[in-house]
Amino acid sequence: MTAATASDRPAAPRHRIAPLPLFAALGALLALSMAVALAVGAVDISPGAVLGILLDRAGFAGGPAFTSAQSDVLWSIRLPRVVLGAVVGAGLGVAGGALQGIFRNPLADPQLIGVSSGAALGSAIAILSLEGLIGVVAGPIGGFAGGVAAGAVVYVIARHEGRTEVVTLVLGGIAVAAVFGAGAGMLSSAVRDARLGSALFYSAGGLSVATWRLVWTTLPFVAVALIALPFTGRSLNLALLGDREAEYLGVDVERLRIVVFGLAIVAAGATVAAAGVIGFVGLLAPHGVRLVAGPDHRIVLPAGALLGATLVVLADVAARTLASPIEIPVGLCTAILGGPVFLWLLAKTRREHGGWG
Amino acid sequence: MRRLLTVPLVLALCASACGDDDGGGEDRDATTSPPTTATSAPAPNGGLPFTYTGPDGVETTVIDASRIVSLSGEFSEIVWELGLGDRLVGVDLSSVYPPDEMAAIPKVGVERLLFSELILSVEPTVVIGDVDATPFEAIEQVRATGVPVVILPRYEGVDAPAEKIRLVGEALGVPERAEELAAEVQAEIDAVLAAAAQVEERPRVAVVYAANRGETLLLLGDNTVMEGLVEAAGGVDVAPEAGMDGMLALTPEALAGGAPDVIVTTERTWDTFGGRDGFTELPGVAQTPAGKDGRILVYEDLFLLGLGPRTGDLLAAMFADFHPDLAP
Repeated sequence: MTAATASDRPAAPRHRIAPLPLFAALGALLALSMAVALAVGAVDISPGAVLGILLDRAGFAGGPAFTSAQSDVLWSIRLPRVVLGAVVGAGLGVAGGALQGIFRNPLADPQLIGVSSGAALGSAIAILSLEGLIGVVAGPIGGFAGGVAAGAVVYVIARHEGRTEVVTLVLGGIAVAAVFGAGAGMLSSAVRDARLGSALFYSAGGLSVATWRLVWTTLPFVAVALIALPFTGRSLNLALLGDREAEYLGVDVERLRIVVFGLAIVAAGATVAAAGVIGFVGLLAPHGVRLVAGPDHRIVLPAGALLGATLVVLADVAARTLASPIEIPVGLCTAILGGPVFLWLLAKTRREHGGWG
Repeated sequence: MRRLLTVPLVLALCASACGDDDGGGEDRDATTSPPTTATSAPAPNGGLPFTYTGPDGVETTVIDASRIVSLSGEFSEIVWELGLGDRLVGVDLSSVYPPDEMAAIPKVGVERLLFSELILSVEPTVVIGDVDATPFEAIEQVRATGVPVVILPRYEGVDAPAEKIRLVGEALGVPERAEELAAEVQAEIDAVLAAAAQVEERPRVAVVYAANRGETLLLLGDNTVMEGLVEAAGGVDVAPEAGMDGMLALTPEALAGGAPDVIVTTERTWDTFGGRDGFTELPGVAQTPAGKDGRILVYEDLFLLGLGPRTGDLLAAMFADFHPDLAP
C-alpha cells in the first residue's frame, strides 16, 4: 500500500445509487424476505395458501384454498413473528445509524455502547415490578429508562472537551454492557420468572414469543424514532463537519445530540423489551446503505431501517429452521454476519484514516 | 467397591458409545423392566371429556386424546406405559425412554424454549406439560387455536409418580388403566421403602447435577425432584442435613464439607466432565470419601430425575448400590 494509492482512494469517483431506486430496491427486498419468512415454518403452508389466508383476512374470499388450522398458525403465530422481526430490525437499523451520526463514530451501535444491555435490565425490572400497574407498556418504557441510564453513563465517560473519544466510547460501552448485562442475567436466573424468558433470551435475542399484542406495544415506540429521526438527517450531516462548524451553520449541536440520542434509545429500548439483545444489526444495516448510497443521513436513516428489518426477518428464518426443533437465538445469527463486517470496518478505517490508535 | 460401580459404569459407557439418538438396540438399563406394549388399546376418548384447572389457573377441557403431544420426558414415558404410545404424535427433546420408540416420534421443542408452531405442526388434540412448559406465550398461542394444554403442577417426593400417572391418565381418558399403573408403581416404591427401613448402615449421599454445560454443579436437596428419594433408598441425603434448600450451586468446599460416602449423578453430568477421570478429579469431589473410594453412581438423566413409572426401579437400583453388602 503506497502513499499514492492511499490518498487517491477517497478522491476516486464512487458509483452511488440514487435515492429512488435505492428505496425501491430495499422495499422490494424487505417484502420478498417477509414473503419467504411467511412461507417457511414447521406447519406446512404453501405460498398459495399464505396468499389465500392473507386475502381472506383482508376481506377477499375466493383466494387459494387453505385450512382453518393453517389460517390460525399463519395469522396468530407466524405473521406477528415476521412483523415483529421487521419492526425490531427497523428500530435497530435506524438507531444504529443515528448513534453513528451523533458520535461521529462508525462503531456506535446500541449493543456496543451498552444501551441494549441497559434496556434489557430496565425492561426486566419494569416487567417484574410495574407490569401490574401500567400494563404491557412496562417493558418498552423500562427498556427506554435502562437504555438512557446506560447510554448516559457511556456518553458522560466518552465526552471530553466537546468531542466523543472513540476508544473511551467503545471501552466504556463494553464496561457498561458488561455491568448491565450481568445485572439482567443475574435477575433472570435469580427470579426464574417465566415472564422474563430465559437468560439466553436476554443475552442473544429471540422472536419466538411474538404476539400481536407485543407488535402493538413495540411498534409505536419504534415508529416515533422512524418518523422523527430522518428529519434530523440534514443537521447530522452538518454536525459531521465538527461542532463549531455546525454551530456556524445554524445547528444547535447539543440539542441535536440529546434529541437524536433520546430517539435512538426509544427505538433500541423497545426492541430489547420485545426481543432481547439482537446485536450487530445497528452496525450492519446503516453501513450496508453507506456502502452503496453514501453517507447522507437523510438516506442512511430510513434506508438503514429497511435493511435492518430485512436482516432480522431473514435471521429469524434461519433461527427457527436451521436446528429445528431447537431454536437458535436470533442474536447469534446476526452476530455471525455482523462480526466479520465489524472486522472489515476496522480494517477499512485503518486504511482510510490510519486507524484510531 | 469395584462391584458397586459395574452397573452404572456400563450405563455410562454405553451412553457415550451409543450416543443419544440411535438407541443402539441394546437394553441400556438392566435394572429396569422393558416397556410394556399395549395389548388392548382402550377406545379413544372413552373417559373424556376431562376438565381440569392447572397451577396456571387456566381451566382446560380435553375432549379428544387421539393425538397427544408430551412436553416432558416423564409424561411421554407415562403415556407410553398407559398403552397410548401409538397416539403420541410429538414429544420434547427430553423424551428418551423407551429409547427406540421415542427416537421415532417427531420432536416439537425443548422445555422453557417452546415455540408454538412446532407443537401445532403435528396437529395434536391434547398437549401435556408441567410448569416448566414455557414461555407462557407459546402455551397461550397453542390454546388460542383450540388445542387444550394440560399443565401439571410440580410434584416432589416418593408419591409423585403415582400422582402424575393418575392425572395424566384422567386427562387422556384412561383413569382405570392409570389407577392400575399407579398402584403397581407405588407398590414397587413401597417395597423399597420397607426394605430401606430395615437397614442400619446408611451411607451419606450427595446428588449432583451439571448445569450450564458444566459451568455450575448443582446439589439437589429438598424442594427438588430428589426430595426424600435418597432416604427412601436407605441413604442419608447430605443436602437437607446441611440445611440446604432446593438446588444449590455447589462450591467445591461445600461438597467436600458434606463428606458424602456416595455421590449420585446423571449420565449427562458424567459425560459433561469427561467421565470417570474427569468427574473424580473435580475439585470437591476428589476430597470426599465418595471420590476417594470411587463410589460414584451414574444413572441416566430421565431415570434419575423423571419421577415417573421407573421410579420404583430407580429406588431399587439405588438401594442395591447404596448397600452392596446386602446383595445376595
